Formats: sequence, C-alpha cells, structure tokens
Amino acid sequence: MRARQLLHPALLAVASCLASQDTAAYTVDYSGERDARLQPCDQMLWSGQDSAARECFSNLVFATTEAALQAEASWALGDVRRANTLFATAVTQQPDHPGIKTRWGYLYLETFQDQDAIELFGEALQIDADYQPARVGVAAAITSQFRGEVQDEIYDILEDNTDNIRALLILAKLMLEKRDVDGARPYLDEALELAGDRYPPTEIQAMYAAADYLEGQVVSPWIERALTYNPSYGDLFVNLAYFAELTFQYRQAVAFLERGVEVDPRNWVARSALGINLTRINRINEAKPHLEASYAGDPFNIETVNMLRLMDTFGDYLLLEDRIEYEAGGGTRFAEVQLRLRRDEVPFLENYTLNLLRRAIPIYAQRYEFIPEEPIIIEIYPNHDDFAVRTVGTPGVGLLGVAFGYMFAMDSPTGRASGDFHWGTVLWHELAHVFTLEASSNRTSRWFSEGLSVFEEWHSGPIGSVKIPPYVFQAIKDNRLLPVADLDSGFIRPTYENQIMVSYMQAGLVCSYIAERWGDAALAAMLRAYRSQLPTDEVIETVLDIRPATFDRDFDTWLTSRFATLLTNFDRWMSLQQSIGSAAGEGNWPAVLDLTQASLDIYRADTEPRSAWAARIYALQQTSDEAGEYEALQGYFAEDGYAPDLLTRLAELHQQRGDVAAAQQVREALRYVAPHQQELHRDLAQAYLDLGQARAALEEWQILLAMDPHDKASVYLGLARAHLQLNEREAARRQVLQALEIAPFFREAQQLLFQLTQTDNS
Amino acid sequence: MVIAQALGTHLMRRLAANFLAAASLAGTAAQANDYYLVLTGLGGETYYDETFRGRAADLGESLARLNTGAGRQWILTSEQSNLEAIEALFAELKRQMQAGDRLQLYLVGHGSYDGESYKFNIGGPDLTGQHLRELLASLPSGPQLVVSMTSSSGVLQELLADDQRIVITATRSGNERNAPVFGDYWVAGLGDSGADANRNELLSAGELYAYTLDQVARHYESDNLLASEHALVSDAEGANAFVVSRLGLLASTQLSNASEALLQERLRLEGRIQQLIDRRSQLPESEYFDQLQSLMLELGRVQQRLDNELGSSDAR
Repeated sequence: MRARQLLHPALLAVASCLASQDTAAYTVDYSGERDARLQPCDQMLWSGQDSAARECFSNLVFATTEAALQAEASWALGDVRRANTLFATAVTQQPDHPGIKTRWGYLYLETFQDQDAIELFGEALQIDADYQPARVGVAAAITSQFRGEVQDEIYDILEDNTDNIRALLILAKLMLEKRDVDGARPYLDEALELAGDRYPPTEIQAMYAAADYLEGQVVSPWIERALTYNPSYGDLFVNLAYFAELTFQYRQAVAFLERGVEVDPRNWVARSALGINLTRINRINEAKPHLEASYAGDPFNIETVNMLRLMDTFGDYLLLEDRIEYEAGGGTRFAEVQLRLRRDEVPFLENYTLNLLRRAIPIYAQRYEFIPEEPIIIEIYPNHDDFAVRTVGTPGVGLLGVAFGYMFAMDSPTGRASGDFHWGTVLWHELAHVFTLEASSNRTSRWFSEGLSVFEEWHSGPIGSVKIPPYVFQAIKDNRLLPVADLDSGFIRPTYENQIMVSYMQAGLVCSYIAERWGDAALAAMLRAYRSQLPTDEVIETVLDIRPATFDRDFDTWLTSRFATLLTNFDRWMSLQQSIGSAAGEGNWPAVLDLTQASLDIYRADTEPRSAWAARIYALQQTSDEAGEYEALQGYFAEDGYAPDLLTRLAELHQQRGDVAAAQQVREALRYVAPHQQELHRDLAQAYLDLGQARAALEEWQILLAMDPHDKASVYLGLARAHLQLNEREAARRQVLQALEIAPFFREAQQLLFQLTQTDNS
Repeated sequence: MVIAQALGTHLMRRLAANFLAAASLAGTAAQANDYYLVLTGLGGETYYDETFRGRAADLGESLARLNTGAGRQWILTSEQSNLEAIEALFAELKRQMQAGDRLQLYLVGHGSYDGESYKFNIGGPDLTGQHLRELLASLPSGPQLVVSMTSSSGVLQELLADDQRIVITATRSGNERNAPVFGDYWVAGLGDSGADANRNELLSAGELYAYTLDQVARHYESDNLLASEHALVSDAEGANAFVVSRLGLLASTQLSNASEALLQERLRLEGRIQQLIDRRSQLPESEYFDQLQSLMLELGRVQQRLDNELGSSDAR
C-alpha cells in the first residue's frame, strides 16, 4: 500500500505544532459495524459531554493495541494525523477488512481530500464489491464535488440496502439542494426511525431544520431538539449555513454560523465558514480572527489557508469609493459604490468601471424596481486564483465572476490571456445579480438570477447582442433543455458536459421570452414573487398566469422559431465548421472563403475564436485581399465580435481610410476587452484630439500616464495638446515642459512650446 | 573643457554619448571609430532560421545609420558563422581597431548552458563563452558593448565582465533556456522613435534596453504568461552613454564645421538644463518652469538651426 499523507508537506510542520487535543464531531458510523468498546464513548461525544468523551476515548487508546480501534479513538479526539497513521497500520494488520478502509476514507473526506477518500472506498469495494458503507462513501464524496450523477448511484444503493442512514441523508440533501422539501422529508423520516436510540438523531435533525429553513422557518423546532440532545452541536448551524449560502442568504449564513460558534467555539469548520461568509458581506476585519482561530485549530482546511493567504495580499489593493447619481423611481438617486482594485490596475479599470456602472444602474433600478440601499462593492482580481479563493475557497474554478448580494468579485482582464473574455460584460452580468438578488431579498432561484444577468448582457450590456455557443444549439436539437421548474438542477447538479453553460443560456433565453411576451414588468413581478418565497412553478403560474408545462411548450415553440434558420440547418452548419477547419489547415483559402460564406449565410452571430468570421478574416489576410478583409472585419464587429487583434486591425483599416470616427468606435469597444494595452489608450487619446474631443483625450492621456509607459514624453505632449484645445494654456505650458524635461530634443514639443510662448507674447 | 568642469564627472558621462557621437560624425582623424559585428547562429528549424535571419538584417540596417565607414561592420549569416570565420574576423578587427575605438557585438541565435560552459550554437564546433571572452580581450582597449539575445545568455554576465565592457543579456542566468523574445523587441526599438527617450536622435544602449524591457514585460503580461526570460545589463550608466544607432537627421550623416559647432552648443545647453532639473526640488515650482522654459526655448532655437544645417548643406 502506498503511503498516504493528510497534508501537503509544507503545512505539516505547522500542523504538528498545532495538533488539537479537542474531541471532534467526527463522521458518525451508521454501518452497524461499530466496535462495541467505542459505543459508550460515542454516546458521550454525541450528547455533548466533551470532557467525559475525551477521557473515555483516551483510555481506549491506551487500553488496546488494536490499531483500528486506536485510530477511531484518536480521530474522535481530534488527532487526525495520528488517526491516519493508525489506520495505515490497521490496514497492514487486516488487509482484507473493507470496513477499516472505508472508515479511513471517511477520515479523508472529513479532511477535505475527496479524491484520496474515493480511492480508499474503491479499495474497499475491490475487497467486497457490495460493501454498502463504501458505496455510500463514494456517493458522499461525489456529492461534495457537485456531480449530478450521484443521485442514480444513491438510488441503486437504497435499492440494495434500504436501512442505510447515511444514504438517506445524502438523498435528502440532494432533494433539499433542489428545494424539493416535500421530496426530502420522507427520507428524513425514514432515517430518524432507523436511528432510534442506537445512533444520534442530531445529523437528521439538522437536515429537518434545513428543510424548515427552506420553507421560510428560520427558527425551526428541530434546532431546539438537536441542541437539547447535544447543547454544543455546532454542525447543526454549519448545515443551516450551507443551505443559506446555496440560496444566496449570506447574512443569514453568518447569523447561523455565529450561533454555531457560540454553542461550539472549537468547531473549526463553523469558524472557517463564518470567516469566509463575513468576507462575502464585506465584514472583512471581523472575518480574519475567525479564520486565524480556525487555522490554529484545523490547519487541514485548505479554504481557510487560502483565504488567509489572500487577505495577506489585500494591502496591494486600493478601496476606491464613489457616488453615482441617477434617475429612477421618479427622482434623483445616489448609489454608493466601492471598488477594490489592485493598485497597478486602478488607472485602466477605475474610470471604465464607473462608466459601466453609470450606464447600468439606472437601467437595472428601473427594470427591477429596486433602489440599492447599501454600497455596491466590486472586487477585481488580476490573479484568477485569488478571485477563485475569494469566491469559492479554492483555486481552479472556471468562473469569471461571482456575486454575493451587494458585493461581487470578478477576474480582471489581465487575469487571463488578452481577449479571453469581455470583462465589461462580466461586470454587467454580476451587477445585474446585485439588483436581482437584493430585489428578491436573496430569495430568487438560481436560474432566474442567472437568466436575468444573461438577458441583460444580451439586451443592455456593452456587447448588447445574443451570444450563444454552438454546443448550446446542439443541446436544443437533442432536447436536452430542462423544464423551467427544474432548471436550477442544471446549475447545481449538472449531468452532462457543458450543462451549466447550456443552463445559463437557457435561463437567458427564458427571460428574453418572458420579457418579449409579458413585458419587463413581469420580470420584476417574478422577483417579488420569489421574495415571498414561492417556488418556481408557483411563480410562473402566479405572475405569468400560465401552467409551467404550457410555458415550457410555448417557450420551445418560440425558441424554435427564434433560431429557425440555424436549427433547421444545424447539421449542415456543423459540417461546414469542420470543412472550414480542414480547408484552413490545408491553406486552401478560396475554399475557406466559399465555406465561411455558406456558414455565415446560415448563422452570422457566432464570433467565437474558431468561428467562420475568424477563419474568413484570416483567409482574406493570407490572400492579401485588404478590401475583403476590411468588409469582413466590419461584419464581424457588427455582430459584436471582440477579439482584440481583429478589432485593432479594423481600427487601423478605418484610420487608414480616414474614417477616424469609425476607428474610434472600435477602440471604444476595445476598452471593455483589453484596457490594459497601452497602445489602445495612446490611439484613443490621439483620435479624440483629432476629433476635437479634448476632455476625452485628456482622460485617456492621464490613464496612459498612470500606466507608467516607457515613452512618457509623448504622453505629456498629448496632455499639453489636449489642454491647449480646451484653451487651458498654463496647463498646456506645464505639460509641454514636462515633456521636454524628459526629452529636451523632442521637436514636436519644442514647436508647441514656441507656439505657446509666441502667442502669449504677441 | 569649461563645460566639463562646470558639469562634473557624473553628468559628463551621461552627456558623453552625445558629445562623442557628435564628434565622430565629423569624421576627424583623431576621433574614435565605431565597429560592429553581428553573429547569426543556427536556428535549428525554419521558424528560427527565418527569425534570426530577419533580426540580423534589421540590426545591420540600424547599425548602418552610425555611418561607421567602409570596412567597419560585419554581419555573419548562420551559413557563414563558424569558428574559423569568427576567429578570422576578430583577427581583422584586431588589425584595424585603435585604442579607444568602440565595438558593438551582437549574438543572434540559440545559446545553451550545461552547468559549466555557455555555447553559442553555430555550424561546426560551437563558440563557447570562454572563447568569446578571449577573442574580445584580444582587441585594443576601448568601450565594448556585447548584446547576447540568446537563451541561457545570462551566464555571460560573469564570464565577460570587464570595466570597459557593457554586457547585455536576454536572460539572467544559464537556466533560462527558452528562446527569448528580447531580440525581437531590441530590433523593433531600433526603428521606433519612442525608444529614444530624450529625443536627441542618438539612441543609447541604455534607452534601447529600457524600451526592450518594457516591451518584453508587456508581451508576457498581454498573453498572461509567466515570463521565462529576465534580461540583465552589467553597467546601466555606461549603457546610457553608449550610442547604438542614430535617428532622424543625424542618421548616416557627416557634419560640417557649422553643424559641429551647433551640436556642441546643444550639448552645453543640455548640461545647463540637467543642472536645473537636478535643482528642481530647491526651487519654487513656477520659477523652475520659467527657467526651464527659457532654456528649452534656447535649446529649441539651436535645434532649429542645426536641423536647417543638416537638412540643407550637411546631408550627403
């Protein structure tokens, strides 16, 4: 057997100094195989008699030489590193015992190492393919990874073994995640009956409390029952906070977790979750002590470690405050905004972010009939992993932005390769969440909030057109869209590749359809209905006065009609994409041109990097057909393509043809894709000067100067010219002298200085 | 020598580049001469063969603007670069060069480092760093600029260190083994007036190095890549005083006596401006800008007269 480690070696040094001597709420063993000698200690632990339980387990460690027993006792005492070593010894002593491997797997599961846990459960199943605790363990591990296929696996397990409490709890959790409270309750009833006096009821009671919470009952009687059984049962509140987070109720999650820490100050999971959720509602200073305490008690929690490391970098960021004036609800309003930007990104992000906010806030306030009552906080991270840690706790997520209510975080355009994403659209999307979440008191369903954000991207955003990846049309063709009442599951438990993105697009289309058929007011009315805690099917029926099944049917008809040309010719269109790729690979440019034309005749809106547009433009460049290239680039831009290299080329061609205004329009679009490119600001500033828009030119030169360009002299000269255009002669003189201070022989600056002084003297 | 006494050694060194370059334009017998040498290594594949060929050609074109005179510049293509040809070339340099003459040497190609020695990859046996040091040391004493654009070139910093030699390498160590993009931007800077930070039309190695560093950093940032190269310069101040190319009207030009006098006047004014800039913190802002304006106007008028001279009688 290979050696297993519970922690990254870099952390072990710290962990060894901090080995906890506390009893821990470790995973209850419902297998019925629990060693009788552990059970008296278990009873003490479950009922919150911590001191007695500690003494009991400690005695057991010294009273026996059986490694498996010592491992369980050590685990219960909170010494997971020792438990790990002892499980390894136990497995050596009893290599054919599936139960030991399974419990060892649960230890890994509890210490956030799901993959190792799955491997151990797999080893147990190699010994006994029907070993139910191991099968349930696999399901539990998959559940924590949010993989949708788990539900079928659990059903299989239940068929084989209807008295498995762990399986029933997992199944109930899956139901509750989908807000199917009625579906969950029978499983909980069954689990409670099975538990009887043999097992602690607390885990089951915590799920009942969660079910009540999802039905609007924050103070559930099950909370009292669980605390009566075990007054220090902090996991109860960790579970409630989980469901609060899932429904965007971060303030409520904090409230639950504060209770959890109150009843069990040494519940490190609760303290970590409290710290993380406090950061989500911008109570950052309060978060750190909880995270530090959690780390001291449990250095294994990688989310705690990551968040603490991220907080150490906050000194590199500036928190900028602004106030946006806008008209809504028949009067002038003010929205307070706070931007947390890394210092070196402030020059090229601050102004553009504020510009977007000034455009979006009045639109959203009016459409969703909601006036923000608190500051809107926007954090933009140049390091994608920092963003990921800030939002989901661990690096490696494929998200671009995450909203927590009034606060949202997103990737900076510098966080990915240039042009990888349209940051202006991401900001637009996340800001819509602020309004839709808050307008519904954070009670809107996931699909509706996402759908509205996508709807806004398409209809009011900086791109402002419908952008749907081709595989979504494939899903539509294959009838893989979900009924509207079940659309949340496509986000929470996807069952096929790309289903999350398909669900985003479906949600956006559903919202577009509602707006088109029932008007914008229906969208606001639906948010109000969610606020009153109606489930989706009732929201649809109440607000739209249509049965969900009828809605689905009508939506399908609308969708089919909306994309009729593409859907009818989809197979041919897909085949054309393949042929374009082959022809381009062979350098057969005439064929590429014919094929791309055929593709665009069917569908022009695809502007992805491997789209027909991109291939066509490339082919025209290869054949030196500049006129054709110019025309194709204009077509691409008209369809809201935003690849920086293509737009830069289009601006250049416009400029060459003397169409400065058109060139400038393209460059203005580029600000929301690649604002960190210095050439863009130089070109924008120069063109604004040429167009007589001195104020805008001044702004662009100032942005460029703040970006610390190599050639500062020409920037100062640009500033001087802009000031001169505004008839600000003294400012112009200072700027031109700044240019000459750097570059005394700069002829254009010398000439401007002559011009300024001659005019002044005349 | 009044100017030198007034300006002090530090400032003189910064201005020396202008002065020397200006003086050398006149082509008087007593002046130091400029020599340059571009060695092109093997590409190993079509892409690099073409890249290195283009880089060497562009370098040659820019260096030609120094107007070094016939027989003082050599570009060895990858086909011509072998040890025998390189040794012969250094022998010729040794024969021609006088003490005080300036040399620019460029290595364009791939380099490697095996933990012990640096090798510049050419046809036949490679040129080692040790051998290169011996070849450079064999030349008459005078300022030398060595720019190695190769992978692993950082190891040359220590190997070629010398008081009279400025060494610029595309990487900071022998362990940075990826083909650097440094050379692309160095060559691009030779044709970009923005690289000439003070706009005096005399592009120094220091200005070009700063420009290249900026471009390389943006290259990696733009693609969101971790930079796999970190350039180094052995003597930043010396690099600021070493002219690598001329731009604008000064390019490929010989000066008349009148132009030479104007250039010296320009140098004198530049010294006064620098003195004022150094005193900036001691002056009220408005007074500083007034004085600066006065000097800049004077400099501008000299520049106009110089431009007129160069644009009419001097340009050959």
